[in-house]
Amino acid sequence: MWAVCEDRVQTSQQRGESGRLSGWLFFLIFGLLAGGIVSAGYFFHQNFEQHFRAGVERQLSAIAELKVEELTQWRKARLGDGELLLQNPAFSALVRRFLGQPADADAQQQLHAWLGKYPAAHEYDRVLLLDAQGAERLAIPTKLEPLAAHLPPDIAVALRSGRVTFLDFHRDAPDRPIHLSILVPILDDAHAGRPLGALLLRIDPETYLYPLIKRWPTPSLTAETLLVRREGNDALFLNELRFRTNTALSVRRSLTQTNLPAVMAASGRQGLVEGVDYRGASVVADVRPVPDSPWFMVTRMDKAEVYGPLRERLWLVLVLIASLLFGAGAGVGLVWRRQSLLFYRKQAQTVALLLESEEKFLRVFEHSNAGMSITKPSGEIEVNQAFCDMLGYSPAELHQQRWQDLSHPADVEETQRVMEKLLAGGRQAARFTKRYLHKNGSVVWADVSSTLRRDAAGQPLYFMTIVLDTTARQKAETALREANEYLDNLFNYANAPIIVWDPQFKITRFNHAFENLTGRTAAEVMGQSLEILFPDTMVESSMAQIRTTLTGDRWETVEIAIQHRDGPVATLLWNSATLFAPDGKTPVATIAQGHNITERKRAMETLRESEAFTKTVLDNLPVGIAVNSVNPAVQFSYMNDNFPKIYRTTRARLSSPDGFWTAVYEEPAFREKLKQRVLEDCASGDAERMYWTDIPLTRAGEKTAFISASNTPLSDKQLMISMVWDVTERKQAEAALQQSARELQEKNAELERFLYTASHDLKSPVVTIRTFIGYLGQDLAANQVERVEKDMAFIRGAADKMARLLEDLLEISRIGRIVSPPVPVTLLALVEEARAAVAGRLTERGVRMQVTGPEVTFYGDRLRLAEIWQNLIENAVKFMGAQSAPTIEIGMQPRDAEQVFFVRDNGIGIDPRFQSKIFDLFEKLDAKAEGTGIGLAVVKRIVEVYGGRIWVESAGLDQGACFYFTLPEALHKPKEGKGK
Amino acid sequence: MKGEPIVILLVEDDEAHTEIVRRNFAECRMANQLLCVPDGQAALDYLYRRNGFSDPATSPRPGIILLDLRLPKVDGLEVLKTIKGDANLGMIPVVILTTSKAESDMVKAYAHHASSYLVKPVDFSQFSQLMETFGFYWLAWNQYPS
Repeated sequence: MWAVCEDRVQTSQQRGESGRLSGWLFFLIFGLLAGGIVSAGYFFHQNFEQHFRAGVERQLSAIAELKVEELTQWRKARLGDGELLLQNPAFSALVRRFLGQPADADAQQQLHAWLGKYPAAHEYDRVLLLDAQGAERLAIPTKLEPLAAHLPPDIAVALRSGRVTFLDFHRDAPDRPIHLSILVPILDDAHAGRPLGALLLRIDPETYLYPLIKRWPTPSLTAETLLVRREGNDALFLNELRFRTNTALSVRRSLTQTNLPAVMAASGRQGLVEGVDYRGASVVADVRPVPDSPWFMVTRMDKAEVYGPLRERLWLVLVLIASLLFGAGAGVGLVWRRQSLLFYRKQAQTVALLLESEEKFLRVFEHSNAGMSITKPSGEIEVNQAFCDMLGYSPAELHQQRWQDLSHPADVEETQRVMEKLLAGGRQAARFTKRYLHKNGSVVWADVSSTLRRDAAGQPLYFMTIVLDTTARQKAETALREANEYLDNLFNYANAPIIVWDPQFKITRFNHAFENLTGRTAAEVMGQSLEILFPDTMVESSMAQIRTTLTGDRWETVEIAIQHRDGPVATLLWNSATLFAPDGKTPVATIAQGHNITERKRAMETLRESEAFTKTVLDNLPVGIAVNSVNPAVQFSYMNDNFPKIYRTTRARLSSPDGFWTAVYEEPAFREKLKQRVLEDCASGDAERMYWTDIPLTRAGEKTAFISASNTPLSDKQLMISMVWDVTERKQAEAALQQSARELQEKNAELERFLYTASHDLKSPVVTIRTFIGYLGQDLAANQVERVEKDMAFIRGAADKMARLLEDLLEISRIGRIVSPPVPVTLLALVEEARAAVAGRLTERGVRMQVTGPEVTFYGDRLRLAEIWQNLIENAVKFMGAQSAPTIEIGMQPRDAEQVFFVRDNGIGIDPRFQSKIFDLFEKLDAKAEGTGIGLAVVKRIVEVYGGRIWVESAGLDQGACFYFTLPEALHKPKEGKGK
Repeated sequence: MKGEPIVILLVEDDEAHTEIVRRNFAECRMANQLLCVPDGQAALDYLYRRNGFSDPATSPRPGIILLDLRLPKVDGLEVLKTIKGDANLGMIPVVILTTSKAESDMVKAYAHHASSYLVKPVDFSQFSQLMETFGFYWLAWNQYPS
């Protein structure tokens, strides 16, 4: 197996590389050691340098401080010398004496003795006594010297101030030595401080001051102390320098040369500074002012001297580091060498092991359950048994085959690309999914892991490929993915809004229908609280309902409103299910599906409104409406309020089956008849017949009401719409109309009869008159005298009759037109009036008259009312016949809630056959009876005017007669405006 | 003409008119017996031979009846109705002689089988003429069963 041999070479190459790596490791160790040593040395030296520098600085500061202290003391001592003589009364007295009398030898001697001590005891080289004008009066030593020019003004200043004045370094003249002076003003105590003169104590700095400044407490090659004073923009050196002569008061440096320590001091700086001194050498210096003086002190030392020990130390450190580095290098080298020896020994062992593992590899390759192939870059493959089995070939068939021939054509390119990537370097291994073609043509899905092997030179050798058949898994995954997609689509494109939330009520899924419902996108609400979905006022209640789902509540039809982001609120019915973790208690998610019932609710609302409207309309209709069955029983499913009312009953009484009949129709025979008729009519299906008019509702103790009803069958239900309406009023109106029509008819008939009667009865006398006038003419011509008499009698009779008739007609026509206003009058009064009118006849016939019954008061035309009784009494008397005890009874008796008046006699009576005729106009039962037959007609007329009626009752001839009549409209006070 | 002359029954309440009819009959020399009653009740009593009219000698059955319509007690029409409703009396011709020219009276009269309807003329000569013509027609020309 060539591939395996090459693999071995490649492997040892790899090991060689790891050997080189360990060499690098040792170098690294050495590097770390060296770094440690160098940095330790560096830090050590750094530390040392800091300490050393601090030491030098302390030293410089200490020296400077000491010197300044000494200088301050010195100056104080000098001023103290002056103070001793200032305001010394003895001295001033002596001076006054001396100045007053210069010749006073004693005074001169005493002064000499006093002042002579100063040069001897101190560093004063000359003491001068000067008078107030500045003239020299005494000098010790007495050696003559020209008086310094600056003295007179200085003295004046000193005398004015009255204090000891220190005159700083100065030369009296350029060629003169440097001095300092103490000027003491002498005031005459005896004469109120009058200035006497001044004492000048001159100091030669060479004697003490300069040595003091120069002195350095430790041996040093470059260290020195120098004083400077600021003069204008310069720093003036006050003492002689160590490395340059003739410098005092002559060397000055501009303040702009700021790197000079002297300038720094004169500029007021204090402390340790570094700079360049007058020689141009780098120095370290302490600069500070001298208190109570114009002096600045510079204590300086060359850097070279200061850092000299430091450099020596550095060298030492360097040498030490070098030695340590060498030591470390040697040590590491020794260890490396030893390691190398160990490594090669191990490598030899590894090669042996490798050979063994290659054998194992071969066995694994051949017998692995996974398909394995070794693929040359050229495409030829070597495969194992599992690979062959996977694709259904025998090993021989696959020998020398190219992988491209076994792959699915669609995946060749992709595989090629992966291989090229590996060949190009970078990655060594790749894993991907591809399809192979089974020998039988089916597709085999495979999970492919491919590793590129290279030789020692990095050239590609072959691809080691492990192929796992994933067809089954792929199928399962595809099925799963399809199922998921199906569910996803189902979820997303369901018409109903669906939502899923987690136990924290955060939205985790949100389908399209929900997006449409809320106007929010799924992306926008994902992770948000459910609260955003509800109208503000309903958040609490909605969330309370939602919380119940966590405890496992399943909604079936919970109503929760959802608000669109633009405001509109929709009402939905929800059902939900909560998913629990395997423990069955911890909720994982809740899924809820909504059913939008907004439209339905609105429709229901509208329906309710329209029902309410319909009910209002129906209940306010003037007719009764009901929905009911008729057969087998009248059973109502609806009735409006008016339905029972019109039937004069209640809903309750109509509620039981067929309760209608007994509740409405009381009289059993009528009820049964009507029921029969209605059932037949309804059964006929004929709309014309299902219409019943003017049915009476007769109840005991109630006025009879009338109804009309109709039924309209509802299609394909055994129900009818029953409608009923009240026609009582119409019936009453009809009855009233009929009554008045009848009355009118009667009136008409009466009128006709009246006219007829009038014309007939009036015509008769005319016929008589004219005919007998004709006879009269004939009889006269024939001279038949006896007939003339007769003719004339007939003519006269007819004319008389005619006159009476006309009179009566006029009379009766007046009755209907009563003009007298109604007055109250009693029955008794009327009867009395009537009797008075016919008193003669009553007496003549011997008629007894009696009035019975209660008293009645009438309202009406008194004369007309009296006429009734008058006529009736007359009539009674007229037809009394042969009665031996004629009696007329007059009175009133109630009959059927009516007051009926009567006039009864015991005369001849009236044949019942003629009773209806007697009230007619000009009707006389007895043609020979007196009168025209108008009396009873008049009575009837008057009675009718008062709304009454009249009739006669008589058992027959000789049975007497009784006239009855009513006067209803005369019994009540007439209402205003009503007149007849 | 043979046998007894026809008896005429005049039902008339007005004496004057009865006299007129009687005079006319006399003038025309009609031999017929004219019997007069003053009201409807009397007419019926006569025809049914009641109340004083029971003797056939004094109250013979009339061959023709002259009937006024407006009569006391029983109205002329009522009398007519009774006569025509009676099988025996119904055969007697009833001639209405009245002052009424009312249509309704004529209709009613003929409805109850009046044989003729005559209105009393207001003019003297016309009344005589009417009676003469009546005599000729009903008593001379008209034939009656025996």
